[in-house]
Amino acid sequence: MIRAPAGAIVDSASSPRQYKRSRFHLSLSTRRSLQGYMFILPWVLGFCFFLAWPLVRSFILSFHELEAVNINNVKWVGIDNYRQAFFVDPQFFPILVEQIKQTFVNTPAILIFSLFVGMLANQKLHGITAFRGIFFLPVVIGSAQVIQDLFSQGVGANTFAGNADVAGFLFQLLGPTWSGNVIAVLGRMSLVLWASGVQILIFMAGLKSIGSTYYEAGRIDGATDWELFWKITVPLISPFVLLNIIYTVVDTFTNSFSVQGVVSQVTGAVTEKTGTTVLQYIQTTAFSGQFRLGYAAALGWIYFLIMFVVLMVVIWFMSGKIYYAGDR
Amino acid sequence: MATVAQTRTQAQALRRARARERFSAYAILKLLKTIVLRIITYLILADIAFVFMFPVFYMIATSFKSIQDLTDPTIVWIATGFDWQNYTLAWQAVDFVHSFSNSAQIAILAAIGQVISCAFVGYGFGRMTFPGRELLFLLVIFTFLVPPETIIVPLFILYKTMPRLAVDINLGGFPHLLTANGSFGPGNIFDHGWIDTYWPFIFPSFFGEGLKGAVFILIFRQTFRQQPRELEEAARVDGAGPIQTFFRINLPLASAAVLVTFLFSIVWHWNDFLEPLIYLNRQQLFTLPMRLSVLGQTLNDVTGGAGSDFYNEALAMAAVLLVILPVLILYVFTQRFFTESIDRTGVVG
Repeated sequence: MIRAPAGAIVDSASSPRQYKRSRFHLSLSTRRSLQGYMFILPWVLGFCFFLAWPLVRSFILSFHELEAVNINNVKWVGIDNYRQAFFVDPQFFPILVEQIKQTFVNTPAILIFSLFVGMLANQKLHGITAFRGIFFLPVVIGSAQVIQDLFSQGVGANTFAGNADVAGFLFQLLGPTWSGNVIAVLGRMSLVLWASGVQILIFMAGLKSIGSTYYEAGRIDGATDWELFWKITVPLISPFVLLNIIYTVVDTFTNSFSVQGVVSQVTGAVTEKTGTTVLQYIQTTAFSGQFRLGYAAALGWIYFLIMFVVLMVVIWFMSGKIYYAGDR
Repeated sequence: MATVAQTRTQAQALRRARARERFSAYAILKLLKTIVLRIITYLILADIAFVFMFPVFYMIATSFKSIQDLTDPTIVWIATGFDWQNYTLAWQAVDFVHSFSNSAQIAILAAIGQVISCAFVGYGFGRMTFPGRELLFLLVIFTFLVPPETIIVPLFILYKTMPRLAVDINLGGFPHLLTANGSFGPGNIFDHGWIDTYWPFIFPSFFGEGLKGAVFILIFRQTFRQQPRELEEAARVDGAGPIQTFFRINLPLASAAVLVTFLFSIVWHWNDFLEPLIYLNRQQLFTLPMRLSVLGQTLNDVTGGAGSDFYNEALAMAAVLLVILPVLILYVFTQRFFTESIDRTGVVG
């Protein structure tokens, strides 16, 4: 700890108030630190009580059997809950796989569309604010129950790209499993768009941060718009792409609704059904029927770890491809 | 110097060339091209906007249909007449006044909590220097990554064991008695602590947690970081302590971030569905979105057992519209703040 300089001592001696303060012999930097800690104290408390401790406790619980909320009736079962999740429970694993698959299919679609829409909405046109307002609408009314009600009525179906030829073509090209996913994305394009409100905003802010000087310089050198997009926009927007990927992955993993496109194996037509998400499954496990809280805690931890691994893989994959202008 | 002169002559030449070309065939073609491009841009924008608006249009159009209209294949959008019955029934079935008051209490109180706590904490992270700051901020980001269901079981147990507070927040008119209506006898697992109160939503929000608290801390951190340091130093020289500086100088300057946080917090809490479903069990306490999940049942109560005769797609859509109407109205008036939020607060950059 650095002692206060000589000047400070003289200063404190001259003013009685200052002298009183330095009774505890705190240097300026220590005092500043303490003030900093005072400001973040509410969060530290909240973090400990409402996140860290529950997380640890959930981890401990996941090795126990606990049914109903009689906390005295806890039984150690080792990794039994985890074994059950993967090898015994017939429901959990398919739901988990479906959700991971959806994340991998949806994220690129959401990113491409939000970049596209963000570029459109970033132009200086008359009435563009109204369009921006519409594009952000889903964030405002995107309640899980509302969306589930809406899409279970088939609202999203075939509004955007319900072209049977496209479906048939993809079916031949990719085979039944993967074409199903791609067609499902096309078929519920309104859902993809509905999940991209915040991402559009982030891309708009990113696009605005690119100085017009780059484009002017490129244009003087004779670059076409296409080249400008790939050589200037894409590299400079790449940090925002990473930000958006992280946001999208977290968002799709923590969303409590999922609408799955179900592709008929015969006709290739897409119908929608509202699927169970892992979150819903955990909730029903914990808070209905037998109230299997220990098992639910184990499922929650499996889910959390998988999301974490997916995020790390994405960040590792992207880390070499991002261009940071200056020291950003 | 030479380069400046050069560019100047270049610019003059360019201007002359432009004047010459203004009315040439090439210029007209170029003008046409920009007009066509602009039309195409507008068309694409309108198309995407339509996809965004489609569910809303669908909701409004369907909600007015009578049963005859619903089964009539020739009627796609416009109903034969405004059938207000759907709305009157849905209004009763979702118990609108009550549920609205419930939702508003949760949303507004939690939003106030998040604004206060996240501004305070954001100031600490954005403006103060102390050892371990970066590490702690990483932990803030980490909280954003934890799925709510991973910690829901311990949180439920925690809230269940919390002491019942003397004041229960519920302005809706239903006093909080532990066994109201006799619906929850002793020994029921839900009948304890903070379960069936609004504290699980409101209390954590005063500690920088709650729904997406990390995002709001990030917003405030970035906002305070960008404020000029001179103001604070001036205040400090004049003898203001850090808390006084924060409330008198920094917070008033961060009004944009306060507003954005408040609006987002209200909307996210309004739309929240999973957490209320766990912590609230008595129907008098339900929020508006929760009402949708029990719509068929409450419709039965309202119509005296004949709910299934009235329940149809049109009624469901009317109910959904009623649920989102408050936030929709809020959004219409504050749209600017939502769409400009990232620019105003400078979260990215």
